[in-house]
Amino acid sequence: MKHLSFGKFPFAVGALISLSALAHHSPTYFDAEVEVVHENVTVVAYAVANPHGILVYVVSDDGGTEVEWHAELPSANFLRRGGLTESTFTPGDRLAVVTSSPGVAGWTRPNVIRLTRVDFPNGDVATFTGISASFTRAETD
Amino acid sequence: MRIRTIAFAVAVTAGAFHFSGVVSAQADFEGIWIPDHPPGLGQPPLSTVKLTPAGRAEFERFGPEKDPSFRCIMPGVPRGLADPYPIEIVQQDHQILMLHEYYHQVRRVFMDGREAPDYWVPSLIGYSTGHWEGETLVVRTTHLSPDNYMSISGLPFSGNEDTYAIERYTRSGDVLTFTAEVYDPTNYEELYITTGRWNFAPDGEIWEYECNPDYGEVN
Repeated sequence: MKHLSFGKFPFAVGALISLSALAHHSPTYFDAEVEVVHENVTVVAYAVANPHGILVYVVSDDGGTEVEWHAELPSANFLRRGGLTESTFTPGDRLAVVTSSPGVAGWTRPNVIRLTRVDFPNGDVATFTGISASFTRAETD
Repeated sequence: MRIRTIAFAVAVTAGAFHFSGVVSAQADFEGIWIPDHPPGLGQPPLSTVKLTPAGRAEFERFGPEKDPSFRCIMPGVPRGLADPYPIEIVQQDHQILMLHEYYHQVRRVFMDGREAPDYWVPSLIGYSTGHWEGETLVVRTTHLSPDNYMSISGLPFSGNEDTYAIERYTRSGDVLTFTAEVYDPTNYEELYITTGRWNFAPDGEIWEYECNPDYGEVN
């Protein structure tokens, strides 16, 4: 897997261009081989919904401009089975690290991604693998 | 009492003979089943699928704007033969119900020997009839809709009068498996074969699946 950490403002442009040429003949909405990492993001909106949940957040790019990202989540049913609820994220929340797979050009809108992991400031972790979700509380003394 | 017992035995025997002409014992599929499907929901690798020229052209036209899953349209048959959500199977004398959590999809498999009526309108669910071959449930589904796909990857499905699906379900212990053969000569040079597997879950639950297309868009 390619690990792309751009600090505050990532995007794997080169990888997506090469993939999009193949994607036209192979429906793939997200590139699981590429990892995008955002740090210190702020939640804008969150919905537990079917066919899939969504998390909208903003992160500042290198120039200080806030960029909005739309992250696809597993379906409401799998979020709930994994322990995530309507109150897991609240607008205004700060998230330490958000890891995702980027959308494939031509198959998703710009700045649409699929979450793979969220690290909360208190140590809680949410992971998303395929269609499933899991929420783990930080260990406390 | 003895007369009643004999009458019951005759009735059961007649039912067992109904389709195959041989005595067949039905299996118990009743209950909730949790999916444990092969990777890709049991679909064959795209590289192995033999499309006709018409099928290939149709596949090339598939794009996110056509993906029914984003518009909260239930998958039906064949696209939804296997899905990643629990199902509940209810066995009655005249029908077997397959109740999917996913999109609240309900499949009725008629087991009483009836045939699809002429007036039946093609639909995503189609019209399913079944019979037992030993302990294998064999389901034939016709009257399928052209507004569907073979798989979630956008492989085409013509849904014309030539199309049908044959599913075979077998239980081994707490595992239920199926193999489906989908016949669509317009788009495929050979039968399209998919498989699936569930694990029995006596404590399983079927949840509500309300779908809102406002949350389906990615493109």
